[in-house]
Amino acid sequence: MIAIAIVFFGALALLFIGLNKEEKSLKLAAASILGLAGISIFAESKGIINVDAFFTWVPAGMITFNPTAQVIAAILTVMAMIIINLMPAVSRKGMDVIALMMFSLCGGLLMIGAQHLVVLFLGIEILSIPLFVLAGSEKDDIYGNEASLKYFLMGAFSTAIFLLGATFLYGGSGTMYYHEILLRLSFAEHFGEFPILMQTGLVLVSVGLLFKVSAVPFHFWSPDVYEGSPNRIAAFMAIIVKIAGFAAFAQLLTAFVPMQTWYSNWMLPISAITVLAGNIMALAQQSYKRMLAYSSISHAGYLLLFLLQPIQENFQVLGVYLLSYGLGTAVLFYLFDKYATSQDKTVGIFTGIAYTNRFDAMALIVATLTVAGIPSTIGFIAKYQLFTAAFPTAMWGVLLALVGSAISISYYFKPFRVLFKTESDVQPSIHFTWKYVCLLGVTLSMVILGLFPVLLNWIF
Amino acid sequence: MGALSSLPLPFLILSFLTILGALYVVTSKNPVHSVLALIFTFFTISAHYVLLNAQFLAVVNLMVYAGAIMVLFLFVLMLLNLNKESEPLKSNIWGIAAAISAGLLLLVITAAFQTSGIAVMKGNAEGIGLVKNLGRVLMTEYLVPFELTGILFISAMVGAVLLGKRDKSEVVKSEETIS
Repeated sequence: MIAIAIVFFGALALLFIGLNKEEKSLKLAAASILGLAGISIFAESKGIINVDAFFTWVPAGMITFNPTAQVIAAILTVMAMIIINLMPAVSRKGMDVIALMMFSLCGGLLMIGAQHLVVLFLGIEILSIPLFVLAGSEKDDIYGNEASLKYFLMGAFSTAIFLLGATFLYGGSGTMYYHEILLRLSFAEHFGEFPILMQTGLVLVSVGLLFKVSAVPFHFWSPDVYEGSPNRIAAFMAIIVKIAGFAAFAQLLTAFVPMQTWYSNWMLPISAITVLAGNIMALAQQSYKRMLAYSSISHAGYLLLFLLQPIQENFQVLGVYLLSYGLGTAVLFYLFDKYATSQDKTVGIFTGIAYTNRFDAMALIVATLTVAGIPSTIGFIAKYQLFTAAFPTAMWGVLLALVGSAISISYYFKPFRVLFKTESDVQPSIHFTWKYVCLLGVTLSMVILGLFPVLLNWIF
Repeated sequence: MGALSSLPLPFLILSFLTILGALYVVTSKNPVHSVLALIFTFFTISAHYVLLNAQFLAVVNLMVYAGAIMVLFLFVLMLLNLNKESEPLKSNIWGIAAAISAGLLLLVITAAFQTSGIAVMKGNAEGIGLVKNLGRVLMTEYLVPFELTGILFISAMVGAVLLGKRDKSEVVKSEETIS
């Protein structure tokens, strides 16, 4: 709760302070506001600080963070900090782009904490509307404009479907609070049959959320939108939207525990097809950014497996996976942004950086291993935990996901083929700037958390 | 027809008019006629809200949809200057596919609802849809979502400025073209 206020008022203050300043000069300020917010949520989840006393005037129950959701909210905020800090700023006056990213983050935080359908809906809207604008924030770029329009239309449709489902859920249960929906459903389970309105409502609401996290039947927008948007916005969409979407989805499904076997029936095929289609289509991509988009689709498939099993018991599995996915993807997007030119967006951009810039090469290797889920990085721990948790309820899904992971190696490792080729005789030169310190921190955290998973117990 | 005749007559007439208007929206060749028919449809939907005892919603629906959004639609249509030549190529397959999937959705939802007993909630208060009651609920039970819409509106405003504002470089470029 306090973090939403910090992020929102921080963004407002930045808008005024940065009215006549270059974005570069205030980027660090934005990142520190987000860092502060992240630390405050984390401290709250560990019970170090207690700010509930400030919010006694708020009618309780609509936004409640349980401790694990709080940790995921902290991860979300820290991810936004990493993205804003790593990615280069535009050389233009005004802080509007970063402020919009922070507003969007507020929506993500709301989605995670939502315990009421109206708040969930508002969260989705607050997350999406700034992103529609941000996708087209490079106004001269025609692909950016296309991405923005496409994302806007698709987002509007998915919102409409979500709302239709929400009205059905309200009609079927007479309430919009998650815990009261759970109560009605447990009651219905007792009589052996669930109201048809609840079933239809859950399907439609899920469709709305699956659109946001780009699971396969609803994924068509995501590669185009990622490719057209500016790189940092694409990274923001790939990481923040996915983390917030899945955390919100998991929170929503805690209200539908009695219907779990029913919704597993149709969610398992969606997960399987997302894993397979995402990975196979990623194989065929020339552009590295499109490949990252398809890779994020396949990760959505793995994460859907998590939703099939009893969620409350191991919520932290979701958190670990989202953390590893976020860290790895952020670094990959940063490196793509650093080396890509307007002509060349293939893996060829990484040719020879093992000699010209050893540090970037190292970060690339670690991040790739993380998203591919290779041991010694946090990606392996995350994938292992996720698959073990999902195995009892969705054995076939897990087996297919393993096949998908095997396929994914072949496209993730494409840059490795050119990494050690020399084409130029540029001498390696490393100037240790602030950016390198950040990159070093992110890269090291991926390795350290992978080597000492005990540390994850301390985080969660 | 037994089920139909048990419904109140005003509802039947209004529903008939709504469906007629909506059909005209999709079948009309002239986009301006479509928009005008859509305005008519919004009016009849507002009348439905009045029947459902939601007076405030009816007024808001008229103001926002029939007033603001439809005027925007008309402006866009007139600015776009639509005619046969400038219309992009589109094949019939998309139309057929859309019709089939929308029809399937309709079929599934109606089939599902046939078997579900929708609990009828009797509104016991007379003026439940009036501004006074709505405002009270907004300021007490729904205070949090009400305040949160502030974030939504601010981000929408900042986004509109970001998209609408001219960058310095753009201004220079347009001046060059003029000279």
